[in-house]
Amino acid sequence: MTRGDGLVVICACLLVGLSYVQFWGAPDDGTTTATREVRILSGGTEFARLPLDRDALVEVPGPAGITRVEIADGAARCAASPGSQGICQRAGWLREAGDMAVSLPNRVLIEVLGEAERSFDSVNY
Amino acid sequence: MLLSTTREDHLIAWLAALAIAIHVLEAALPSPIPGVKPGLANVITVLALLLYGWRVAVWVSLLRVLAGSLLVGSFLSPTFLLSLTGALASLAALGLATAVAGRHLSALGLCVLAALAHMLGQFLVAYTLIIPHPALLKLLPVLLTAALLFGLASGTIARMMYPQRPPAAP
Repeated sequence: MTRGDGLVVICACLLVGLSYVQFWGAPDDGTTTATREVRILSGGTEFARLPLDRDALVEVPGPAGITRVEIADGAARCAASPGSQGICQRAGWLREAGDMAVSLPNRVLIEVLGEAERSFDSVNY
Repeated sequence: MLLSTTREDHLIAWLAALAIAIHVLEAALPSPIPGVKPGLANVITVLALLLYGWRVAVWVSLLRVLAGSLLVGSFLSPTFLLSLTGALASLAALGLATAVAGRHLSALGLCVLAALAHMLGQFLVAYTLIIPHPALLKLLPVLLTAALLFGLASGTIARMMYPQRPPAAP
């Protein structure tokens, strides 16, 4: 093996190592969770915009009563709402960007914002 | 009318035939990951470069891609495109390497260079034309590792067959 060969092999190993760092590292984590927020709309206007990493309990007044929004463990949910069918509560914990819970009677919309690619909310054929 | 052939034509034909045989044999081997194969035909290209210069290596390599794809049945398919860009990339790397540092490199270094260039060229085309999805990038480290290992293997073989350094003026 000549010295040139050695140099080539070392450079090749560095390139391979670098490719692992570059493409198998975890650059996604941290950036998306840090910027993730939940937005609460009441009657079409923004009522609050809160970070998901801080636990909170928010009471949103509306025409039908009070909708309680809970934020815990990096997710938000509609804990209680005056609607008779519980549709808002049934949306469960909202964690990913684009997740949404709506209370029509109380005109409240809870939505997770974020940089992440939004998944489809419905597909029709 | 009889085609007149030179000695070099025969040489290229012989080397290309050898490379095609290896190419076809390798196509029969199962591959664990798409894109990973030993690339032993690389040995012939590098030996052609060392013994007869870059021009002959280009002929041998491109003839191997063309005739090999005709025999395997992948002519003008995406596989053929990948094979061709890989061959062109490795030829470019070999030409550059011999022009810049030809006297410092033996068959081993040249084979490693060619294997990595082959893989990178192929990957670039696969990523831009065939599967432009970020998930494909996750495969690149694995592919490069395979290219390095197989480059070392084919380089060792080529070095056993031709232990000297290339002539001063290729």
